[in-house]
Amino acid sequence: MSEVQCSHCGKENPPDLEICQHCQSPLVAPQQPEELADVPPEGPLSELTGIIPIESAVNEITIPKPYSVKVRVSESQRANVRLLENLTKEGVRPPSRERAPGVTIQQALRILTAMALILAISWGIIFDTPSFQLPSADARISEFSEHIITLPESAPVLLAFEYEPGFSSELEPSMTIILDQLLSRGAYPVLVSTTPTGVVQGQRAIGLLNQKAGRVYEAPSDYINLGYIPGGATGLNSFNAGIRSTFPLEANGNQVWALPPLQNVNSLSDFNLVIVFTDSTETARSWIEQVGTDLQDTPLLMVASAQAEPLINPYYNSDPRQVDGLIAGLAGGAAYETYTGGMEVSRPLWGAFNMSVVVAAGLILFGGLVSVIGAAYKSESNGPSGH
Amino acid sequence: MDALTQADLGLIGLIFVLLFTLLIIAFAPLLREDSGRTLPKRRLRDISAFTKLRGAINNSVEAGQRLHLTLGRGALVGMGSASALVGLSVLGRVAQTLSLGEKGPITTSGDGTLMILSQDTTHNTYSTAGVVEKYDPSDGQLSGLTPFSYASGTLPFIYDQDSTATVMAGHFGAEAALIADASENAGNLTIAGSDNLSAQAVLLVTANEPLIGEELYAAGAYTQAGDMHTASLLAQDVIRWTLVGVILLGILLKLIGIL
Amino acid sequence: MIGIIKRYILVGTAIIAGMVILLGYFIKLPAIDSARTILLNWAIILAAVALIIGLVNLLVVHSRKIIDKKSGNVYSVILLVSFTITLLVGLISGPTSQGSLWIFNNVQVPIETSLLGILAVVLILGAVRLLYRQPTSFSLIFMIAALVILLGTVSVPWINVSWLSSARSWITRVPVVAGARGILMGVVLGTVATGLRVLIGADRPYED
Repeated sequence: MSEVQCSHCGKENPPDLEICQHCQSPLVAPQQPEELADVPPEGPLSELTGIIPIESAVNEITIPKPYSVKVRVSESQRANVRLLENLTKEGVRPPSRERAPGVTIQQALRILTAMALILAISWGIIFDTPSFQLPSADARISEFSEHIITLPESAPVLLAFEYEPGFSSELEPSMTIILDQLLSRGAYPVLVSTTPTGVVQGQRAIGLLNQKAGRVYEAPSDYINLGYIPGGATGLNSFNAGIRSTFPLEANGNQVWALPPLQNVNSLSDFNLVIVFTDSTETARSWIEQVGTDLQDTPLLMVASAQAEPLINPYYNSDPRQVDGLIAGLAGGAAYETYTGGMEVSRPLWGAFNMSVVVAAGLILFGGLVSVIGAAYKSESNGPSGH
Repeated sequence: MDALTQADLGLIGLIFVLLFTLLIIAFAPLLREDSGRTLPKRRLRDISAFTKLRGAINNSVEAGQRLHLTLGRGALVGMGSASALVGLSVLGRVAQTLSLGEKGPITTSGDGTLMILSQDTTHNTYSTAGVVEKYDPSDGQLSGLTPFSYASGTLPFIYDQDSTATVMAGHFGAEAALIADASENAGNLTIAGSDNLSAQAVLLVTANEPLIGEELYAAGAYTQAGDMHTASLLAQDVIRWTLVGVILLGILLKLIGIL
Repeated sequence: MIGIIKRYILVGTAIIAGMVILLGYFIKLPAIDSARTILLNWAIILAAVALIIGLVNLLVVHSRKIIDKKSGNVYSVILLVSFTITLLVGLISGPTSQGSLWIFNNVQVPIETSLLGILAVVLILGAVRLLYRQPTSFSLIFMIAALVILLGTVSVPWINVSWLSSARSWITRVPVVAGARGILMGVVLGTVATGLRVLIGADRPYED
C-alpha cells in the first residue's frame, strides 16, 4: 500500500492513518471545489462569477464529518505521561523531618549535661555541710535593711512583684525575709504588678511567708493586693499619675482606700517605701524612669535577679541615687539572710546552688577545651588550602 | 556647673528629637536613586544575617516552603515597641517576596496587639500583591502571654511546619535561647535579634546569625523597606558619632578639672 | 478618593497623637498634659483589650486544630481544658483564692522553673559550641568571663579565692556596664529612629 503525503507538512504517512503523525493535521484529501453552474443570464447576480448556486449549496448540506483526534502513542510514552501526571498531582514535597533513629551526639550531650547538673544539685541538698557558708553581708546589704527597720508602725509600703514564675527560686528567699521584716514591724504591704502573673505571685509570697513564719497574715487586715496594671511602662506612668483612679478597687473587687493605713495615701510619694522585685532590667528601668522621679523622699529599693544586677548597679551608684537599695540574686538573698539572722530560706538552697555552679563551670571549661582542640584539628585536617 | 533642672533636661531632649527628625528628613531625598545628589554608594556595611535572610527567603519561594517569623513579646505600649515595629517591617518585606511563592510566612508573637498587627501586615501585603486569597488568619498567631509560655508555644511551629528558616526579630528575654536552640535542632537557619541585652547574650551562643546591639534596627534598611529606613540609619550614625565626641570631651574636661 | 482621604486621616491621627504624647513629656502645659493623660489611658485600655483578643485567638486556633484533627491536637485539648478550669476557678473564687494559688504553685511555677532549668543546659552547651563554631579570641574572652562570673559567685571552700570575687565584681562593674551602656545607647538611637519614622508618617504599620 502506498503512503499518504500530508498536504500540510508534505511528509509521508502510513496509509491507514487519519492524522499526520508529524504535524497532527488530518490526512483526508481536500475536496475539490465543484464545478459551478453557469451564472444566470439575468437578475442581480448576472454579472458575477464564481458564485455557488443556491440549489447546489442546499443539496450539499450534510452532517459534518467527524475527524478523528486519536493519537497513536506507544506504551513507553503512556508510562511517561502517567509519571508526569503523578508528579504534577502531588506537587513538590519537602524532605520529611523524621528524626534519625537512636540518640544523636547533641541529644547525648544534653542528657549528660542535665544529669551532671541534677547530680550536683542532689549532692548539694543531701550532703549540705557547714563548708557551704553563706556569703557575708556588705554595706549594700546593711543599707537595704536600714530602710526597712526604720519604718514606723502601720507604714504603707508598696511592693511590686515584677518577676516571672520561673525566677521564683532566685528571688523568693530574699523576698520572704523582707516580707517577714515588714509584717513583723507592723508595716502595711500593698501588692501590685505590671505582669499578668504578678497578682498571684504576690499572693504566693504571702502564702510562703505564712508557712515559714508559722502565723497567718490575711488581707485586708495585714496587707492588700491591688492587682495588675496593664500597659507596661505606660500603665506605670498612669499609676503614678493617679493611684486611686488606676485602682478604685483591689484584686478581689473590694474597696481599699478607706482602710486606715491607706486613707492618707493619694500618690506614690505617700508610701513610706517602694520595693520592686524584678528579673528584668527593662522593668527596673520602667519603675526608675516612670515612678522614681516623682517619689521625692520615698526610698526606692530593688530586689533583682543576678542577670539584671549589672545594669541596675549604675542607678544605685549614681549621685544622687536613683535606686536607694539593691539586693541581687540568690547570693544577695543569702547575704541578707546572714545579716538579718532571720529565718533560714537561702540556707537549704545554698549548697545545691554552689555545687551546680561549680559543675556548670567545669562543664564549660572542659567542653571549651575539647571544642578548641576539635576546631584546631578540623582546621589542620582541612589543610592550608582549606580543602 | 549647677545641676540641670527637669525643664532643662526636657529642653535638651526636645532639641535632640528635633535634630534627629531633621537629619532623617534631610538624608531621605539624598538617598533616592533618581536624585542628582546621592550619597556615596557603599554606605551599608555587610551584615551576614541579612545576606542569609535574603537567601532564606529565596529558598522558601523556590522550594515552596514556609518561613517562620517570631516577633517577640514587645507590647506596643511598652519598651519593646520599637523592636516590635522593626519585626513587623521585616514581616512586611518577607510576606511581599513570599507572596510570589506557594506558601507565605507563619508568624508567632507573645502579645495581643502584635498578633493583630502581624495578621494585618500579612493581609495588607497580600492585598497589594493581588493574592489576598492566600491570606489565612491562622498564619499570625499568639503563642503565649508569659515569656516561657511564649517560647514553649513557639516550638511546635518550628518542629511541625515545613519551614526553612526561623527569623526572630523583636523583644525577647533569655527565653529566646530555647527558640533558637529548637530552630537549630530542626536544621533551620536561625536569624535572631532583640533589643534586650540578656537575649543578645544568649543568642550569641545559640543562633546561627545573631544580630548584636542595634543591628536589629537596621533591618528595614537592609531589606530595602524604603529610603527613610536608610536615612534614619545614617542619622543614627551621625548622632552616635556626636555622642562619642561629647563623651570624649566630657572625659577630657573632667580629667583636666574643668568639670 | 475615599482611599486617599482615609489614608490622610489615619496618618494624621497617628502623627497628632504621637506629637501630643512626645511634647507632653518635654513641655509641661496643662492642656497638653490632660490630652496626653487621656490618650495614655486609652492606650492602656486597648492593651488590656488586646490581651483578651490574644486569648480568644489562642482558643480559636487550638479549637480549629482539634476539629481538623491535626497532629498534636491532644495538646490543644489539654490547653483548652486547663484554660477552662483556670478561668472558672478564677472567676468563681477570685484570682488570689486558694484554688488559683494551688494551680499557680503546683502547675505554673514548676513548669516555668523546669524550663529555666532546660535553659541552663542549653546555655552551657551553647557556650561550649561557640568555641567550636567561632574559635576566635573574642569567644575565648567570652568563656573566661563566664567562668570568672560563675566561680566568683560561689563559696565552695576549695575554690573560695578572694581574687575571683574581686574579679567578678570588677567585670560586672566596669567592662560589662561599659559595653552594655554602649549597646543600650545604640538601641536607644534605634528606638528613637523607629518611633520618629512612625511620627513623621514614613512607617505606617496601621495602614490598609
